[in-house]
Order: sequence, then structure tokens, then C-alpha cells
Amino acid sequence: MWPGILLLVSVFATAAEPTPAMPHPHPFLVEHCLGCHGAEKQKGDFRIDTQLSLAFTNRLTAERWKEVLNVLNGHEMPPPKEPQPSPAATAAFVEWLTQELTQAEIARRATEVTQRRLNRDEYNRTLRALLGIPFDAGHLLPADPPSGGFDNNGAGLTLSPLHLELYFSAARLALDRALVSGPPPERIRWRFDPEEGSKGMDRYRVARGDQKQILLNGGRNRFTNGFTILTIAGWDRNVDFRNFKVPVEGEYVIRMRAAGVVPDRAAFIESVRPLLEKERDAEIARNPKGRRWHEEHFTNLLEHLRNDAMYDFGPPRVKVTQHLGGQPRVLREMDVDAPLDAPREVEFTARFTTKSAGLTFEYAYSIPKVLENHAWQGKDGVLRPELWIDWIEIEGPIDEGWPPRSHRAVISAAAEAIPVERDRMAAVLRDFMPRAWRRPVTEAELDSKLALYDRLRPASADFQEALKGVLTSVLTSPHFLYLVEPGDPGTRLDTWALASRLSYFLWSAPPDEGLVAVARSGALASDVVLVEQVDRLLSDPRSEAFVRNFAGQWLGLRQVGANPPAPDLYPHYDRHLELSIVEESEAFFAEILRGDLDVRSFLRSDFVVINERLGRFYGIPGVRGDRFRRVALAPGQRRGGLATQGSVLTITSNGTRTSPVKRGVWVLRTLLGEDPGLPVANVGEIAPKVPGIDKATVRQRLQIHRELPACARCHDRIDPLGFALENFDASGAWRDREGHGYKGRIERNDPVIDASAKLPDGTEVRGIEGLQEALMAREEFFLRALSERLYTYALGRELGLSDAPRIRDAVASLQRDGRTLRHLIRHIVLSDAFRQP
Amino acid sequence: MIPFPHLNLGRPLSRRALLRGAGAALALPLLDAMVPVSLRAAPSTFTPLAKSGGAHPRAVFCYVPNGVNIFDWVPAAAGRDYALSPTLEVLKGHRDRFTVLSGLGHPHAKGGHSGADTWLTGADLGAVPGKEYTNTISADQVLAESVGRHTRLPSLELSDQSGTGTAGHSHTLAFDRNGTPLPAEDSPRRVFERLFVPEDAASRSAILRRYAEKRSILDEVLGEAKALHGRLGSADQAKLDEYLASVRETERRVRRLEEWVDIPKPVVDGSRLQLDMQPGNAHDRPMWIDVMLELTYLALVTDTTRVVTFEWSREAGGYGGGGENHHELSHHGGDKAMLAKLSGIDRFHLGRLERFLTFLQSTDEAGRPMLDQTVVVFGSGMNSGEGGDHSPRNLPLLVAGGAGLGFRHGQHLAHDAKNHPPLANVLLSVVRRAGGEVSGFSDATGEIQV
Repeated sequence: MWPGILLLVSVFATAAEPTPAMPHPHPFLVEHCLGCHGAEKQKGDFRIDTQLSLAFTNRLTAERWKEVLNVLNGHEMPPPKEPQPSPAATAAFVEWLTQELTQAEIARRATEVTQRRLNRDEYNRTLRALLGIPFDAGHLLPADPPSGGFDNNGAGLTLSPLHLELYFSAARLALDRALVSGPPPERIRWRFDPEEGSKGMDRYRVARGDQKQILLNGGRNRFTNGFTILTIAGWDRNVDFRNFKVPVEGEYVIRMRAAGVVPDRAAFIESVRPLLEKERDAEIARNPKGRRWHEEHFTNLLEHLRNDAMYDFGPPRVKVTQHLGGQPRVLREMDVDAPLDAPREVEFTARFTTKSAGLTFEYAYSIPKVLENHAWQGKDGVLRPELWIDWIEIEGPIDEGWPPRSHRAVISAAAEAIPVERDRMAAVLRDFMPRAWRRPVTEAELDSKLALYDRLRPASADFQEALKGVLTSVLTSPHFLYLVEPGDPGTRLDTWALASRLSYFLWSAPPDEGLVAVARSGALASDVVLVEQVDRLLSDPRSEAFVRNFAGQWLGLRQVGANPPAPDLYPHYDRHLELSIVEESEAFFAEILRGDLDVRSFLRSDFVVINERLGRFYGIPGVRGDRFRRVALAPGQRRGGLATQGSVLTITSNGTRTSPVKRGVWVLRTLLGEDPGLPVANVGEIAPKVPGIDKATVRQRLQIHRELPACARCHDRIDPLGFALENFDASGAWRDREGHGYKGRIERNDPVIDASAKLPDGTEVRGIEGLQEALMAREEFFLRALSERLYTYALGRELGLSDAPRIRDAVASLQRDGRTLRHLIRHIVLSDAFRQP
Repeated sequence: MIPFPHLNLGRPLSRRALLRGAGAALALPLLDAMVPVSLRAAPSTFTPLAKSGGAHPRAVFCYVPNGVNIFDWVPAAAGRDYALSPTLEVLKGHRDRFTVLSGLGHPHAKGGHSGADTWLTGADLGAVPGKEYTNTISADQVLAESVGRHTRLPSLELSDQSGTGTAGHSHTLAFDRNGTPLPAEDSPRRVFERLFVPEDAASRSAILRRYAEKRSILDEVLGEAKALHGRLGSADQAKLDEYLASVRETERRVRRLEEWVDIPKPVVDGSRLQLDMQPGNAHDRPMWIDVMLELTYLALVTDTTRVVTFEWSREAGGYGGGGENHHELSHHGGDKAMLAKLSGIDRFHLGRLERFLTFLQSTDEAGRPMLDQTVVVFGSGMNSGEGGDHSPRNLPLLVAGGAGLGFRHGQHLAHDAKNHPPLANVLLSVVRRAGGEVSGFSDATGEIQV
């Protein structure tokens, strides 16, 4: 366990002791380990005196030491039959080793910003900005590994031949899409009425344009007044049209005219009741002695139908999947929120190649199979949200004039008019290169590209082919792929490099014209202009990238769904909810950012930012529609603040149950800025070697474990923070009792949740309110944690010891001048660290 | 489109082989309880081909991290009459087509989680004074030096994380003659495109023009990078060195493509491959391993390469099913419950291997199963031992296939873990029998007679 890396003061402890120099092997190892892992014996082929050394900065050595920590923290060694060290001795040794490793790791870190490669998201956004096309090289490029918590870390962004190969293909592909030749392409606009399929030529074949064999399938659905009505998900209920090819590759609009019918609860219950009655009567007839039980069961089911929030139906949802060359891809999942008397046209775009294609429309409103009684499951007569589809269209390629914007983004009309090809090339380069390299280019650089053009042109079919070759070299150059920031340490970045740093920080994208203008004039060097630009960039929609990339990684949102709540235990958790909990945390972050709210709202807030689906899940009534909006909390609604959000609560659970340890670690790390230690093998699991724990509750099992002094060392700091969140189950729903019934159902006598906890410094907390109180009382730690994370992200590097004063400054400044994200961002951007190479 | 030679793409497998394949696919994903139906990917519907393109010796090296539950892995008895261990029971349909070897290890290996770095090299990573890390050529690359010239790709590197990883935590098993790691690929789609999607240029001369253009461009950016290099500080220079090395390697690859311009890529229908499976996604994991092995199979059956390394998961990472953390479990401290979960992961892995071996066995190659010409080495560079050690000794290892190359399977070759021949002896045997013309390899003292 070590305290926040840059302030050697732990949130719950007094100042760290200075560590005296130690010999190797450490006396602790000599006493407890060397007998079996030394000169005489080498159990497990591990020898402490020769395979370890005090060279903690050596990576391989450090890795081996970390395994030593693992076996000690996991209570694997010494083996039970050997004499055991006292918990205090183990604690002291672990503390020493952890300190050494931490110091060494920090000492290894360069405190200069490494010239960093664009990560995948930045690369995509950069090409999009440059060429004005909806380009996504997502499937082409490998994901970048996060380092220090973020995937924009220069040290972690390595480059291999694989990357270069892919950058090459991606650049070529983007240019092929951006540039056009010849006359405008043939366009299509095909409309399909799903019910037409059932009365088409041979029931389902229809013709559009030159495509005579399009398969149109209305599904096994009802058709009324020209609408096709979807109420149940199922392979035979999908609406699709397939086996067609669009005439040219490009972006197409998919448009659907549809409406939704949402049943109210009373009508719904009445539609189910006869089925339940029928079943009850049949059961009683079969077994008259069980009458009382069956009647009670019937009453319980009705009760469930009356009370469970999931029958507060929302608008129907549709999932649209594209099949291209046999490969499915989900294009869109959305609510269809329009009444029957005013159907809506919803549309979105998708890229089609000329491969054989298809589009499938699925009913995607989730009605979980929570009841053992299947009397009404899948029955048509039961009311559900209904999706009414009138027609579906595909239209494209999208007409934005000819040549399209993307073509003009590379070759301006003026350049295109230049008769001499080489001069035309020069004109294109003069415009394109500075935008691609995010700085002015020299004549020598330009000449070099023209020389390349001279080499390529003779073998190229036409001018445009040679031009693509030259521009591919511009887009695979280190000047494009890296944020090149020449200059000596201690000097200021030039305004071009600074403009890029700023735009990649807040937009994950290159500078726009406004930023380029102040970079060119040099005005960006002034504090006033820099702050103006920060505000301008933040108010631009492109700052969505900051929300997604920073908040997504800071809070761990990218882990949502990696180990989701088990469906039989948490039937309310569905795909719509999973999408919603991620968006909730992003929207919450955006609300605090854009509204200049106090950052302590992350710890506790009197509002949430939710959609209808979350309103239903959290039990907050009155929220209609899929849009995320700020909703004030009424007393007793027990939400507000990050730690109450579904995203955080599910990523800190293990699928079948809550994990107070994971939750504690999350709170400690994210909200208090304290790292609970090197990856301990058993974190998130109850240590295996505690006898007699099998039949206890989660909390009780952990409690037994924690009572061992050796374990309490870490768990006293971690677990209480998690215990306070025990009222939220593994799916993030509120619970008063821990369910021990069938499939985790809560029964009458199940234990009431105990969400009380005692922090290591003696503070008693009770439940979420108590935890939030305790966190608010430690706001400095939160401000420190937030500053560290934001600095790390802004600089694209991990922080070193010499950054400690910066963090102190940032915290002081927040406390003095206003605790807003905008303020912190301005503070960081104005700092030397941000403005130096 | 020209189908690749001598290959009947149309005829499906016999019904029995199909059922065998389907059984394996359905029985094994362990994630069912954890994953909502709506989020779960369906098992693969891939079926192997009836015939291969031609009989060639080949080798596949499959690596799993964090060792295995060694208690359930090592058979009790040695020799030919041994009874399968509980874990190896998964492979019982192939009992006579593999040999399990116990007691082996690389004498220089350091243990911990550097096993993937040395599994195929046997190197002493700290051998060079003053350098934190040096590695040596891996067995697959030794083999590729001999047989690689016959195929479009000299070798294929697969892993669950693209690139090379870091020293001591390699994401690739392959190291070239200089000890430089060869980047691995984790995306099924990109592998498919590299292996089977034809160049879109129309004619031979157009393709050659494109290659020439690419080399000109590479020249150009190399020049830029060199010029930039001098203007940077040392940390930035190190970053740019990655770029320079990558440009040079790409140039080498383009030259190779030029040599292969007259031979079209094989035509393979990708529609039944689940190319969008992602290794880092718990739902996709079983299907991801399957599709990577399907691609391995396709690469071999089309003779696109004869050498494949596949690191199923990087060291200290990975999981088997049910969201279990493989690395955490490897610190089992002898705990029965954790060991049982480890065995579950081991069986899960062997199930994927079983399916792959069945593909090879059911494909005809000049009247014999393709497996007879294909050596498959499966193992880990770590042994979590009796107490959750991270030892490089007594590594789990099995060699399957290659009956036509001189392997005599159906046995448990037990060695004394304290006094054993180096693991490199096995690798040397594999390399030589798969066509590698070498006199020695790493610290091998001879071949192991499998």
C-alpha cells in the first residue's frame, strides 16, 4: 500500500517513515525465505540471493520483486508448515519493498513529454478533420494499450512494422475515398414496405433499379393500415431486405418511418391476467390439494406485475444491423419515440461497398424473462411496446455536390484549374502539407515531395494516382503520425506545437482554422489568448472527445460490459441499460464540465443525468425519452455522485455478486488518489486460505479475512469504502436485503444489508450518504486525484516526483479560485509543464 | 478469381466430422452463465476443408500463459501405457496423436512472467552485461529461415494483443536472428485480409507499380525520419528508432511481395469466419481463440505459411471462462478451489486445441490426414507448481501431430525435473523434422526422441 504517488501523505495515515538503506538480502528475507530459496535449496527454482538484487530500476528485477509482493500479500509464503513471520514484520517488509519499487518506478520516468504517436482515436479524428469524410480506420488499426491509465501516453504508444503497414493502407484508403474522378455517380433511392414482402412476386422477391432479386421479409408480424407491427424479438419477427448491391461504394442514408405504441400498466396487467388465471385453474384442477399455494402464487405474480418498475414501459426500440459481404455490423440501436398519429422519419448514414448487402430491423425492447411462470412469455396477445414500421428507405450515395467536399479538401478549385500538372501538385502540397503536419513546411520539405512526385508520375496512370502516392507519404510521415515537438527542455514550445497539444488535449483532433490563426500570429503564446482558446475549444462540440476519452478512462467506463451482471441473477440488466450507464457517466461529466459546476459534484450531487431507461432502473419517475438530461433528485432517491452510477457499480462487481474490495479500490484510487498497491493477486477475491468461510455472506467472509492482522494491513483501508456501497447490488440496483432465494431473489427473512463501516482513522460511515460525507470531508484528496489524472492526460505522460509541486499548485488554485473543471484545465494549460517540450 | 491449386473447396466434410466439430464448439464456451444471451456471440460454424493444397511439413506453436494446474495435467504414469490425466482427457480422441512431456524447462529461464519471451528461444535474457534485456532467435524463426521461402509469408505471428509488448512481457513468441521481437497480430479480420484478400489493383504491372510506389514512399519517409532524428532529445530519438526500424522492415516485406506477385492469394470464403471477435472481450473470448485457430488452419491448408506462432494470451493476463482471472488463479497457494478453477481454464484451452487438431486430422492430404505433416506444440513458459510458484521448471508441454515426420506419439515422456535435457532439445527435434536445416539450436544438446 502506498500513498498517492506525488504526495507522500496517505489519506488515512500519518507521514511515511524515511526508509533506511537495506542490505541485500533484506533481513526479513534472510530470516524467512533464504532457507528454501538460497544457496542450499532453490524451491520452485527461485533463489533470492542471486535472482533478485537491489537494482529496482531494472525492469526484470522489478517484475520479480512484484511477484515476491504477490506471494506475501496472497499469504502463499512462507508455507503453513514453516514458522510464520509476525504480521508486523511482514507489514514492515512489504512497506519497505513497495516504497522502493514505487520510488524506482517514479525515478525511471522521464519528466519530459515524449514525442508521441497519435493513438487510434486521434488518428481517425485527424483524418476526418483533414479530409472531411466520415472515416473510421477502427477495424484497420490495433487498439492502443493504456499506460498510466490513458491510451494517449507517449511512452506506451509504440510503433511496429504492423502499425506502419496499416497506416499505409489507411492513408491510401482515406485518399481513395476522399478523391473522385469522372462524372457524379448514379444515385438510388429505394423504398420498401415490409408488408409488400408477403404479397410480392413470389411472396418475398422484389425489384429496385437493376436489382431484381431483393429479398424483402416482413417477418411473422401483424400488418395494419400499411404498418408492420413488431412486438416480440425473434428470428422470425425481424424485418429485413437483403441480397442487393448498391451501384457505387459510398455513404448512404437509411431512413425509416415509424411510430410506437406504449401500453400502460393497467392494460398490460389485464392482458396478462387471463393467461395467469388459466394456468392457475389448470394447476388447481390437476392438484386440488395445492389450491392455497397456487392462489398465493397467482397473487404474488399479480403483485409483481403491479409493482416491478420494468412494466413502466418505455417506447419501443429498434436495432438495425447491416450485412455486407456476409459480415454483420450493428449500425444503430434506438428508441422509436413517436405516437401513432404522428409517425417520425428517423435516419442515419452507413457506408456500403458494392458487395452483396442486407439490412435487418429487430425489435430490441428488452423484456427480461424474470418469471419462472412462462404463461405469458412470448405470447402475442400480451401487450408490449409496439414498433410500427411504415416504410424503410435507402438513399445515396449522399449528394453533397460534385466534386464532394472531401475532394475539395485536398484539391481546391483554384489548384484544380492549374494546367501544368507539376504546378498543380505544388499548389496542393502547399495547402495540404501544413494542415497535415500542423505547422508551416519549409521549401526543402516541399521540394522533397515534388521530387517524389517526379519519381512516381511516370509510372502512374494519371495525375491523381501520383498525387495519392505523394499524399500517402505525407500521411505516413513521422511529422504526421507523431506530435513532433522539437526544442530544448526548459524552453517554450513554439505556438504550432502548443496549438496541437491543446487541440489533441481537448478535441483529440488537430487544430482548426481559429487555432491555426493564433498559432501563426504567435498570439497563442500569451496567457489571455491561450485561455480564450481553451474556452472556445471547450464550448465546441468537438470537446465531446475529451469527455469520452478522459472520463471514459478516468472512471473505467471502457470496462463496462466486460464482466456483466449474470442475466439469471440480474434480469433487469440488458443491452439498453448497458449503453445507458456508460452514457450516464459521460453525460454527468459533461454536465459538470459545461455547466461549470463544483467538481465536488463528482463525489455528491443533488441531481443525476439520466434517460428514461435509467429513470426506470433507478426508480426516478417522470423521465420520458432516451435523451440524457439533468434531473433533480427528490429526498430518498439515493443517487447522485459517481459512486452511485450503474457504470461504476457494475465494473466493481464480479458478475454474480458485489465486490466490496473492488469497490473500495475504485473509490480509493479514483476519488481519493491513493493506489492500494501493486497488483495483488487476490485483490477482488477473498483470500483462499481462510478456513470455514464457505457458507457466510460476502461481507462476513471478508470480515473473517480482515480479522487476520496480516490481511487487515491492506483491507482496513480498502473494504470499508466498499461496505458503504453494499446497498447497491452487482447490477447497480438498490437493495435493502441480500437475496438468498432462488436465483438471488430476496426472500422475507434474508439478511438486511449492513452498509456501515469504520475507516482506518476511526471515522464511522453508514451507507452511501455516510460515504459521501466522508469523501466530502477529504476533498483535498479528491482534488489532488483529479489534478493528477487530468495532468497525466493533458501531458500524455505519467507524472514524476518533480511534478509534485505542480499538483500542489493545482489543488491550491482550485480551492482558491473555484473548483471547476474549466478552471483546472486552464490552470494546466497555463502551466510550464504544458508549454514546454 | 483463381482458386488455389489442387483444392476442392466445394465438398463439405463428412457428416461425422461435422458433428465432431460441432460437439466441440458447443460444449466448450464456459461463459454462458455470465453473459446475457443478447450479448453472446454464437459458436463458430466453421468447418474444415476436405483436402489440403499439398503435403508439406509445418509447425504450429501455441502458448498459454500462467502455467496450468500441474496436478491435473501431468499423467501419473510414464511411457506408452499411461492413463490420460484429468486435464488431458479432453484430448482423448487424439490420444495416439500426441505426446505429453513433463519435467522439462529452459535452464536459463528466469521464471516469473517472462516465460513467453523465452519459450521458443531458451535465451538467458540477462546474458549481455550492461543490457537490461537481450533475446535470441526463436525456434519458429529458425524453421522459417529454411522453409519460409516456399510460402507467401515466411511465418505468421498471432497473439491476443497486437505488437510486440515489452521486454519481459512479450506479446509475441517470435524473435528474429537479432533477437528483435516480431510483432504479432490480434485481429482476425486483419489476419484474414493479409492472408486472403487479393490486391485490388487490376493487373500484374499495376500491382508491381504499386509496390514500387510504396518503396519510393518508404524511402521518402525514411529520409524525413532520419533528418528529424538529429533534432530530437534521446527519449524522442528512441521513439523515432521504432519508426525507422519499422520502415526498414516494411521495405523488406514489400520486396518479398514483389517476389510473390505472380502467385495469387488463395481464394477463401470468409463468410463463416467470425472475424469481428475481439480478444479483450469476455463474451468473444472462446470464439476469438477459435477463429484465430481457424485462420491458422486456413493459412496452413492453403500453404500460405508453414510456420505459425500463437500466444493465446500474454503472460500475467488472460482468462478462461466465467470472468475468472487466470493470473490471480495462478497464485493459488495450493488452494483446492483455485486449482479446480485453473483446471477448468486448462480444459477450456485444450478444448480449443482439440477442435483445431480435429480440423487437421479430418483434412485429407495425399491420402493421409493433414495432421501427420503438421507438428503442433502446445505449452506454457511457467509452472505454478504446488504452491502457486512461478517457476520455469517442469513446464507443461505437449507435442501433437507430425506422425509422417517421424514423431511416435501416444506416450508420456517423463523427465526428472531436477536433471533433464534442455527444452531446446524438443524444439530442435520439431525444427529439424518440420524441414529446418540446422545443426543445432539455442542450448540444445541433441534431439529428444519423441
